[in-house]
Amino acid sequence: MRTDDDLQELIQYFPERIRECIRTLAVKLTEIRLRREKPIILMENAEMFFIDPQYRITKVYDKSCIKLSSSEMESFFYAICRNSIHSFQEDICSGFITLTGGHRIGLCGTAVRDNGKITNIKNISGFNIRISREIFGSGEDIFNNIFSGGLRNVLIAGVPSCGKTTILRDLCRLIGNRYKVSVIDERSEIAAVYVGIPQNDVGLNTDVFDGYSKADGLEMAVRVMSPDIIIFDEAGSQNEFGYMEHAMNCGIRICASIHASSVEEIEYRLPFWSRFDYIVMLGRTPRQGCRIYRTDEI
Amino acid sequence: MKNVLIILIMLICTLIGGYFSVRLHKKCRFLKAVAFMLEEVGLMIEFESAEVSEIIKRLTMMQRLSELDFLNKISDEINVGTEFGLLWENAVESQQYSFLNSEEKDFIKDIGRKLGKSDIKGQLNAIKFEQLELEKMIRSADDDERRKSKLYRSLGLLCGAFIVIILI
Repeated sequence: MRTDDDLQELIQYFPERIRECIRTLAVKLTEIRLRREKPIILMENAEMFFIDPQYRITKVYDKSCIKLSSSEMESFFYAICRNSIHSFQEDICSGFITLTGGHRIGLCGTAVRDNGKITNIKNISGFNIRISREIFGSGEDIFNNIFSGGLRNVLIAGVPSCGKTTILRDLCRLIGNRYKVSVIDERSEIAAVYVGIPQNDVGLNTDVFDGYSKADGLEMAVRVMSPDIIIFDEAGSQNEFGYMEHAMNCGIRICASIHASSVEEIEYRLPFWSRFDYIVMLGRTPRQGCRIYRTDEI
Repeated sequence: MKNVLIILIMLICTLIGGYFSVRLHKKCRFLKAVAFMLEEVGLMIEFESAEVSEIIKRLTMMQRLSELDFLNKISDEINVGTEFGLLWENAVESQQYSFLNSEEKDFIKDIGRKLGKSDIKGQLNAIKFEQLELEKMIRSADDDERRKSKLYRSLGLLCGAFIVIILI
C-alpha cells in the first residue's frame, strides 16, 4: 500500500533550496509546474501559489519569486530519470515520466525528429508534476450505481485533470475485490507498480499489465488472463478502439476513461459508443461531481 | 648484530622493489577489471535498459569486480536525487588508487560522468569509445609490467646489496 513516503521521495527530486517549501504544502498539492527561468508554480486544484524570496509560500506573484535556473532544471531532469536517460528514452519521447507512486511528470521542450518520428526531446523547458493520490471512496458512488447489479461496460469521460484516473483507480480496487480484473497500466498511473508490486490498492483479484501499450495489453489480457473486465486509462487512438471492441466481442467488459467534455464528443469519436452501458461524465473539477448516462436513454 | 643489519637492509630494499612491482601488477588487474565492467555495463544497457542504480548494484555483486571497491561506496550512497556523476567522482577520489596516474584516474571518473546521460545508442557509443581508450591503457600497462616488474625487484635487491657493501 502506498504511503506518504512516496510524497517524501518525490520531494527529494527537487533542488534542495525549495524542498522545504514544497513539503509544507505537499499534502494539498495537485500539480507543480517548473519552467526554465520562470517562477515555480504550485497548484492546489485551480489555485496558484508561488515561492517568495524568503522561501515562503505566497499567492501573490512578483518578479522576485523563486525561479529555477537552467542547471537546476537539468539536474531535476536527470534526477527524475534516476540518472538513467537511456532507461526512460521511450517515456521521454512520449512526453512523460512516471515516478514511484504513480506521480506523472509531463515534459515540454524541443522535439528531435528522425523520419517524422520524435526520437528525443532536447532543451527541456517545462515540467508539469502531477501528484497522484489514492482517494478511497472516490469511485464508490459510481460503483454502487453501476456495478451493484453486475458488470457493465462503462466509459468515464471528462476534461484533463478532472479526476478520471483517481476514480478509475478506486473503481479498480472496488471491482477487483469482487471480479477478475485486468488493468492495462501503460503509464503506471493506476497501480503504480514498483518491482512487480502494485503500490496502490487495486483489489484482490486484479492482474496488472504494467507498461504495456493499451493495444498490446488488451490483446494480451484477453488471450491469457480470462478477465471478467478490463480497466484502462485514456482510450484515444483508433487502434485502441479496435482492440477495445475486439475485447467486447469476446464477452469481456470494459471500463475505461476517455478525454471528452460532452457526450456528443464521445459519440463523434467513438463509433461503437452505444455498446457501452453507461457513460459517466465528470465535472471540470472533482468538486463538481459527475453525471451518469445510460447509453440506451441518450 | 652486523649480520642482522645486513639482512634487514636487504629485506627492506627487496620489499621496496617488490612494492613497485606489485603496483604495476595491480594497475594491470584494475584496468582489466574496468574493461570487464564496461563490457557488463554495455550489455545491461543494450539488452535490459537497466537503470544506473541497478547496474551498480549488480556490478558490486560480481566477484570479478571485487577490485573496483569504489563501486561499493557508490552503491552505499546512491539515493533518490543524488547527482550520480559527482557521487562516482567522489567515490573514485576517496579510494586513492595510488597505482593509477592522473590520466587513468580522470578516465575512470569520466566513465561515471557519462553514464546515464544519453539514450541507449549514445551510451553504447560512449562505452565503445571508452573501451578503445582503455585497450590502449591496458596494453601500455601490460607492457610496463612485463618490462619493469622484474627490473624493480632486481633494482631493490641490488640497491640493498649496494648499501650493505658501502656500510661494510
